[in-house]
Amino acid sequence: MVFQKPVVLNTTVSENVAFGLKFRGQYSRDSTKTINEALDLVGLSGFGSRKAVTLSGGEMQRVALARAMVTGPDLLLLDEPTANLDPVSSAAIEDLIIRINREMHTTIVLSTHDMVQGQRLADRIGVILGGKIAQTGTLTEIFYHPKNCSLARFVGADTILSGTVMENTGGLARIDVNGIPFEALTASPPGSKVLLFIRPEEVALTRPDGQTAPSSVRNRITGTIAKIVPFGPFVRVHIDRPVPVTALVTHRSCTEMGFATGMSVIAGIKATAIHVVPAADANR
Amino acid sequence: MSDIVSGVAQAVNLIVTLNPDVMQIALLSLYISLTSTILAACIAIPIGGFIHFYEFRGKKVLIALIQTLYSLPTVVVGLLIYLMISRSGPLGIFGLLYTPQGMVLGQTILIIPMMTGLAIAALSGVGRDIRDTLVSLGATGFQSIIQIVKEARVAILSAVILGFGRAISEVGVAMMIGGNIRGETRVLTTAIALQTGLGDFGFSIALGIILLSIALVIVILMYAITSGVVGKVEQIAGGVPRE
Repeated sequence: MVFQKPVVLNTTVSENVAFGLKFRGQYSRDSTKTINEALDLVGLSGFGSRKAVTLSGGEMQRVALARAMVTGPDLLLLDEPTANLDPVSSAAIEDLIIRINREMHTTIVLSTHDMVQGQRLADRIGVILGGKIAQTGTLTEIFYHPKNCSLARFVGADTILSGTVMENTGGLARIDVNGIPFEALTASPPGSKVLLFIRPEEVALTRPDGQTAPSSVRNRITGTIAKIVPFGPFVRVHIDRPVPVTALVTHRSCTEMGFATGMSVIAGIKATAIHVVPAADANR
Repeated sequence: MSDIVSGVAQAVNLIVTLNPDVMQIALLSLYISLTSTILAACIAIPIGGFIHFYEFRGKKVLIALIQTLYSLPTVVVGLLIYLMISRSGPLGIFGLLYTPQGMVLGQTILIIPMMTGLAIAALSGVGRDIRDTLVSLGATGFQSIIQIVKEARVAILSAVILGFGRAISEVGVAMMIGGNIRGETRVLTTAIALQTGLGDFGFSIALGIILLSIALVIVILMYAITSGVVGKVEQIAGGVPRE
């Protein structure tokens, strides 16, 4: 187990790594080799005789990983292992986590608040909301097929619309949302109430006077920009009428297209980019 | 003024020539206070550990009581021990009154509360995350306790040194239990009190210098420990990486 805060005991790095072996009564003369191997694994070869408390946070966390790995565990528990580290140290720890998983075949359970880190490291993800596991699944299931509204918001599907299925031909449905027709994939029969989840990066914005988007885009909604919010190298463009939709575009394209509040734009959304959930299930 | 000048001159003479009386008193002082300190540490550190590691009703009250006893007056301890070990007291048969052993008993009791309290504070300084880490590494309860005590070793050592400081500088117990018998139970503090009363300032000043020198050694020890190592202990306890 490795904790969020890097913790070392006030002794040498080697002694720190040796604790797990000593507590289990597995410490012998050959353990020096095992300990050095564990230090090699985390990239701290030659740090053995250093005082552990003089190391940096990232190095301490690597000592903690070596200390946990030296006993050859089947399962490694990591509680937000990079939460207190700078980006460079975090990247080093992430690389290590991947190596331990791939090379030593150790099962790793890791908690994190960082969605992107979750995507980078995990094979399977469980989302904990309000103290309960709300959904488990692969990356695609979690990020593109959230089960309900809170999960959708949590994983970043900002646009949540409720509508009624008008007709359904072999899985491709026409859904009415406040009088606007949407095309999306769903098994829900006509007449059923559904929720539409749309991730902002799936929404392509074009100017009404510009060239048309590829024909595979089934949904083209003309709306008005209500708000433009900077988001790192991107901006989030919020459209409020006729239905609220959020789009994520790069800073550059926002400037080039000359988007501004109050402007009319066309939001293009592929039918496959809309995740449809029966309303009864989604509000559970 | 001349008293002071001639006193200091005489004191230097007594110390430089290693006057047997002065040396005997200084060594007895060291012997009694060191023995008391070791005994008190053997009792106070386990008690402090017990109070720190186990949860029980009235724990906070007990800690407050122990802290109150830091300032236990030496004469009160002297009185209590006197009543216990005098001929008619419950421990009278051991004949401890007016013996170095009796003084050791008194000083031990005097400094136990302070050492216990400071030991508890020292152990509390080891953070929750250290305890969690030890448990996660598979330490049994006993192994955890040993490691936590090791982790708090510097702060515990300071507690012991402070206890020694209090033992060697106190007069109440030494006077009431020891009786200031020349060559038997006369220690630095009681000798200073007596010789000053007799107007033998040179002797008093010599003993005072020795007492101060011992105090100085204690301060230097404490300083070395706190400046060099305690910072690191806090660092681990807080888990803060060094910049």
